[in-house]
Amino acid sequence: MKKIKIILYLGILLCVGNACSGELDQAPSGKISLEEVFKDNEKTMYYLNTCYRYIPVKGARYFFWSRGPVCWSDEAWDADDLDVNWASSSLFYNGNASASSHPVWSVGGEDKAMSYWDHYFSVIRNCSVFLANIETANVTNEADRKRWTAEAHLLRAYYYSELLRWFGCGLPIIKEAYELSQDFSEVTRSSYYEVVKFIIEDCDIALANSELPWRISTSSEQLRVTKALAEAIKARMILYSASPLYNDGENHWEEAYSIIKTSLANLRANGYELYNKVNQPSTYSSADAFLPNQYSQLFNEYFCTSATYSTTPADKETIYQLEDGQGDLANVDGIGAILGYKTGTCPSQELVDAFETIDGKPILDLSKPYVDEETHLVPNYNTQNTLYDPQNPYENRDPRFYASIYYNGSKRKCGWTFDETSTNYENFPASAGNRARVIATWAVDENNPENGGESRTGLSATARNKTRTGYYQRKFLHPFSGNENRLGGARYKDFRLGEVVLSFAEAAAEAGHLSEAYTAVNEIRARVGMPNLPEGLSKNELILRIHNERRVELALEGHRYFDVRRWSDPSGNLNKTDRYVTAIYITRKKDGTYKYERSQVNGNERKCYTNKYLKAAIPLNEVNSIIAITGENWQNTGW
Amino acid sequence: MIYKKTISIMLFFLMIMNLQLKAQGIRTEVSGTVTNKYGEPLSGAIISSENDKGLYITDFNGKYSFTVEENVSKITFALIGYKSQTKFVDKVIDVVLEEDAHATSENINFGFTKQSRDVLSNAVSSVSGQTLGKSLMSRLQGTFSGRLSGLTTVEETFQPLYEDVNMYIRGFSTYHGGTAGVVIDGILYDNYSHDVLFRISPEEVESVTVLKDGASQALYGLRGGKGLIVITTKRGIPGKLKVNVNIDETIQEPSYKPYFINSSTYASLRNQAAYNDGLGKNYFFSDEQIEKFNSKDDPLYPNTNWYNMLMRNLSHQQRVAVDATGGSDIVQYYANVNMIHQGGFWHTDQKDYNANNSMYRFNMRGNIDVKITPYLSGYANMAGNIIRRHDPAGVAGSGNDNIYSMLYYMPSTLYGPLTPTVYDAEGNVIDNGGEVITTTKIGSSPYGMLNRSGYYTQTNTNIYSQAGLNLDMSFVTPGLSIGGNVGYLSYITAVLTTTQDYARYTRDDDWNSLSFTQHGTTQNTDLAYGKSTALYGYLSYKGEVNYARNFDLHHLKSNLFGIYQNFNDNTGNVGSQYDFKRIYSGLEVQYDYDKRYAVKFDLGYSGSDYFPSGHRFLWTPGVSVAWIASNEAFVKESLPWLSLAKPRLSYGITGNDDIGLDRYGYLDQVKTSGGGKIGYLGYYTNESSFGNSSLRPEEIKKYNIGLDLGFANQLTLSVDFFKEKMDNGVFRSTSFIPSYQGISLGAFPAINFAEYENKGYEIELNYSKRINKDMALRIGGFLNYNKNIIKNIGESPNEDDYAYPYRSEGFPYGQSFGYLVDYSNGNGMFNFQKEIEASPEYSFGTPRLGDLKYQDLNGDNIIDEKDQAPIGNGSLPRYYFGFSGDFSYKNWELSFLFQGVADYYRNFTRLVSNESIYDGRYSDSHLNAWTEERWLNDEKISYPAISTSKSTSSEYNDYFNKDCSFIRLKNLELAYTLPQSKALKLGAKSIKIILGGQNLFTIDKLKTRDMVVEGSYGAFPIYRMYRLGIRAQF
Repeated sequence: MKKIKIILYLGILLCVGNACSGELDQAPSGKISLEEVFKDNEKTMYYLNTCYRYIPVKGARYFFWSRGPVCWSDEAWDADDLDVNWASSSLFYNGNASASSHPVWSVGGEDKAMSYWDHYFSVIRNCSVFLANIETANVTNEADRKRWTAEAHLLRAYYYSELLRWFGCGLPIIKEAYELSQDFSEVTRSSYYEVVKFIIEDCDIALANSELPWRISTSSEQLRVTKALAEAIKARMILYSASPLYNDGENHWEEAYSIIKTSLANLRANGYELYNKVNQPSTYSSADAFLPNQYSQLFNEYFCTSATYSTTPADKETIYQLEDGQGDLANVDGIGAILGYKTGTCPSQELVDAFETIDGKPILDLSKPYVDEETHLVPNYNTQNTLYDPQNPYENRDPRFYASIYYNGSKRKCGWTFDETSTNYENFPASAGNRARVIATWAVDENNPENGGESRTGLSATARNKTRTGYYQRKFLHPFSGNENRLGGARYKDFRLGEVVLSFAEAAAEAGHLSEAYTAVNEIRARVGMPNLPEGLSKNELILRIHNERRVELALEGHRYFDVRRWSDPSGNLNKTDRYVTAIYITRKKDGTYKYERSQVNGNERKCYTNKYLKAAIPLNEVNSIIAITGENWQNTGW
Repeated sequence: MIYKKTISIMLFFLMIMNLQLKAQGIRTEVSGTVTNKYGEPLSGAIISSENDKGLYITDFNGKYSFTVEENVSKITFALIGYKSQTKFVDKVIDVVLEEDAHATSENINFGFTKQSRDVLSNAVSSVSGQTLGKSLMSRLQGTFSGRLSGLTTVEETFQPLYEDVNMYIRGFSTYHGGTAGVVIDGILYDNYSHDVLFRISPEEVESVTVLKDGASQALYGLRGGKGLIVITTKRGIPGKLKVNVNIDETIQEPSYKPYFINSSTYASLRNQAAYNDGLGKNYFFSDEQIEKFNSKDDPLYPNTNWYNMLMRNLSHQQRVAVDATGGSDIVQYYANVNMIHQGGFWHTDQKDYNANNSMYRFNMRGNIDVKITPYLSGYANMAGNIIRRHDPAGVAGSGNDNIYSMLYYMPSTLYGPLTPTVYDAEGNVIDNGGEVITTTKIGSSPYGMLNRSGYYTQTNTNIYSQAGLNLDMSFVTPGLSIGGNVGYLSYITAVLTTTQDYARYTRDDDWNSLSFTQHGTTQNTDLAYGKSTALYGYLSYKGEVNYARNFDLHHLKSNLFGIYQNFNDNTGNVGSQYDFKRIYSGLEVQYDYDKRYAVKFDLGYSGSDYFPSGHRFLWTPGVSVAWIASNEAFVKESLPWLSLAKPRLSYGITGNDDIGLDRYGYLDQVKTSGGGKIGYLGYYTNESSFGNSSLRPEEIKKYNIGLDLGFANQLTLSVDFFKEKMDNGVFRSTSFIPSYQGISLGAFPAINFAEYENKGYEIELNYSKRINKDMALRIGGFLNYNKNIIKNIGESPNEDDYAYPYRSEGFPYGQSFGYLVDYSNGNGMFNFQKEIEASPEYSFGTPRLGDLKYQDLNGDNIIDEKDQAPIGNGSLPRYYFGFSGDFSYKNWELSFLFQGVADYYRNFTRLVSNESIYDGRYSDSHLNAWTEERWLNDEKISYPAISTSKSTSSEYNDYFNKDCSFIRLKNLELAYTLPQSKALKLGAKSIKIILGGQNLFTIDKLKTRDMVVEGSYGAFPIYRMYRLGIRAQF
């Protein structure tokens, strides 16, 4: 009897305990391992695509259809400051940013605080994993293997460069992906300069590769990286590393000068040149485009047109343009938004002041542009300048001014959905429809003081689709884009030859090669018909002019935010530039003339000028983890 | 596969055995009557032989008659509420059962096994289906509140037809949260257990048991950790056909109505908000306009009460249930048919369809037991149901709450709901009107959602079947039997969604005319139809061996089982494409000596496909002991009033495989998919997570110490203390992993290391006395207390200048953090400008007059996240209690149930954020909001200054942390049983008429109707219900 019992018990236990455990195995789950990826040519190629997944989004693609750093610098004021008070610009202006409430994020990275740090490091890991496996991967074509290897190196350099620009601090150099079991207490970070050298090393590997092209010539390969990009990244980052904020007290200008010089020469040797003629005269040279001369026409055309992928493109200046267009600019950015959703970027009076008069003379004394250097309410005019009239301020300016900014009295043709009544005698009394009108950004009309006259495009302290500053952005807006004809903006050009030329001018001047600096900056000026810089400037005077040239040439392209930072001493702040941003307050007088006064936008200071704002905060969780692991605090000063 | 084989082998075995059986021995006819001490016949008393085999049940008149086999010498008479008696077999046995306030003869069903309460050594609580039936809730889980000690119920939502209750046994056993598992007739249903319970009516339920301690949960292995609710359905009773008919008509109404402010008050508050924001005194409305709203006679200045317009005050619920039971020695059956209809609360006026909610549920059950041969018996349970729910479209499930909350966002100053017909001077219609009115900020008006958006119909069909065989193998050795069963549950949902859109109109700015302009581009469209289906199913096989035998005073009972379970989910949930597979097996041995010393040993061995091969299975042992001191002769003699004294002790390990990871969390998840940046390079590779190839199930060690005391057979006291510890919790310990290593922290492998602890106690007290023949009373209650703490999840603390560097470790599960209000000036608000100037700077905005004054806990003169402090004490109430009583006098019965919680806080900071959504939402709280005038006049201020935009008072803070302790009269019932003669005249054996009420009143500390002690803020409130019911037995 007992035997039977024992057999029965054992039988069931065996069945349950052992034989049946196989019942719990999962069916093929559709998941693969990394080893399998690199056993297959196609999957290896897919993994390279993974290395591309965090190519930055810039231009108007910062959250929430914002120009991001443009609006966080003294170039512009974001008219979304009130309506989206939890988003980036408001966090900057109110000083509400913190290491856990990170203000910098992009449309593609809604997970806010973490996006930049996490995303770039994760894709850097992908590049490293790819590089560790590519040599032994089953790639059918050796040319592919070479080119893919070069691309992964270059992409890693690109991502590191973005991390350096935003966070401005030393970073761990990760050449090989960490194991899951890595002890992170052993990891140290390298200095800013060392990281830049690592970036250059990766770029040089890419440049030495025979299969990496200088230019992408078919649109199916758009966004793939090129040797030209490698040169441009090198030029940008060595310039940054030599700048006061990042140089740790060392002088790298000579090195920067020679690296950028080589890069520039290589770019020119491989067909890159400044954009120097109007290619679509029927649009940009037409009277309806309201661009006064060929220089402003070509300059506006360049930014409103995507570069094409061809061996002989019309645009030979663009080195790397990003994937996304600038969106429906007529609806969310600039003047077009009067009839649409939001205006966003409103160029500042400070930016307008930076445009010289046509005779090549600055309007303000560049060494001390404002009497009160913080508030900017009283300009310190350049006594040499005779053309500028503060009560007729938009006459006789640099052609780039007319291509970049809409001001009181400039004209635009597009579809307007509202009638203008006879009382709007300043404009073209006309009905709704596709027609030209005068932009009227006045705040007060003495003829009609109650509501500021018709002034649909006038100054407003609160409206989301009106200007905060008295100016609207024009640089990226197609001349005819409007409500009836919404033209998505051109792709954003992250690297162009113009930037490299100006970087060279700056590095050359800093390193004392003044005549080369003159040549470079004059090339940029000549392209838009501006006279050469006067001879005989001192090194410091020349540097001031080059900084100003950079501000004007690269206006609204997202450089200024980084430039004022890198030019600052590590202990400094942005008190003189970013604290108070001014608007032009225009009164239309009874006789039809205007009174121009300067006023602070919304009467408030911005709080994003203090020392800590020189560098973005490293996400709080990350800093906490690192402290817990190493006891070392990586956080940037002040956060 | 192996299970199918096992079962067929068993069946074959059974057939062989039957062929070999010898003829039966001589039988004895036994008959008699069972009564109580008042001579009243007791029906339903169970008469069983020595070896626990159910033989017969007394009929309506307390009579029984059956034959016993030759070798049976003693039979036992048992009935809940009475002490059981054992008698020697004789031809006539009349028994008078003695009342037993301690219910010692109650058979506790653990799901897989049973045990009599007198030798029970575990911590369990139980309730009968009959008691649950007093509740008027349509879902079975709705009837549990306040009835089962150790069970905390949280009523999550009261949306019509979607009411739901979350069930927590002893709070949270893991820091993953999660609710208790459900076992129905011996089969464990953990996925969708809410759904499974919903489809059972209290009428079908014999009993519900809550398994609280580790030893009672051990057999459930890695699904035992969160505790189990064991449902046992009714089975047939041999005897003549008995039919019960229950008919109920129930009226339901919202138990409270938030205050709906009138238009002049709304306009004043809106102005006040703008004034507080520095926008001037009359930013939205002029004083004349407010006056016109106030006069209420100007049609241009309406006072629209959107609540009254779109909500009904009452709705109905009807129920009819019929059950029948009966049978012979050979076949017994129980059958039940139950139908319920529940109406909705919406007021709709769409002619083409009615989107108001309604729900029909029809369920039936047939449980059959058959004695195939003297040794072989079998049973089959067949249950099925159809539920049809009807709702406004686009809001299925949670959306009724959306419509409800929108009612309170609609300004009462808004004309509506539809544009008026416009006539010209001659009276000709210029514009038919009838378009939906909304505001520029409110996208969809509740009127539009109810009447112009279509409807939604969901039909759920559920079939539940189970069949088993049991072979008495006493021919091998007395007391041995083997058995097996197969269970299957399938669930299918078919959804019809019809949708349409509508044009929105907004009123023009000019208040002196009633003109409207279309807003947006939406148009009135026709109904569009869409259909979808979802289904899931459980398949379960079980084989078991039982051995139960008494040797003199030694009572031994043991069970060995194995179960294979497969859960198949096609509902489209994440990970549901892979079947869920589990294996449970176990051994239980119950032993007692002379009902004085009892020990129970459990050993579970279970596996789940959540874990990698080699780490899949978990041993879960449990042991419990009890000393029934009151059965000792010396106690009986020296302490005769001590009718029950039983210390108990138990220890058990339980497991948990619900660890919050995707399916197959132990595998890397690398996938290729479309959407790469570079079209030329084709797809891209996505590493969505990394697996830990040595992941193990979580183990929870549970200790319990308990004591049952009974006095004079009237008063019963039970006390249990427990402690639960886990130290191999699964967690992504990423706080020591920097992000710069590149793997998304959410994808980093999870490991077994987290530590967690949960402890508490339960006290249960019951007094029961039959005072005389006409009068009886019972009164009792329980109190649960539980408190948990997350001890280690590898959290890396914030820097030292944080007032509270840790945000999880050292705190209970669900701990919130926020700002503490500084009440040093009395009201905690900035009352004058100097106070603001003296205040530390706020990092999240600039405070205004009347905004909350937060404490600078770290003293750095900046109020920021570093100053946040714990608020409240986790997501569950610490104390939970129920208190009930039954009185009967002659034909009258009165019963009540109070239920409540204490040490429970909820936060209503959302009230402040909601002020600035759409056109502002104001209710009675806002009437006492801070204004300078109120402050200067020393009037009551119980709310910070209102605002038109996000103010600093909307940061999560403790001003709005409210004590949500409450006590509620959950249930009250008055029943009258017709005298038997009258019932017989009407053709029934008995007829009972019931007047009942549910949720009749609640006492709480909240002084505004804006906040609620449970459910979601701004969502449908709990209902109050009144019932008229008839129970007839035939």
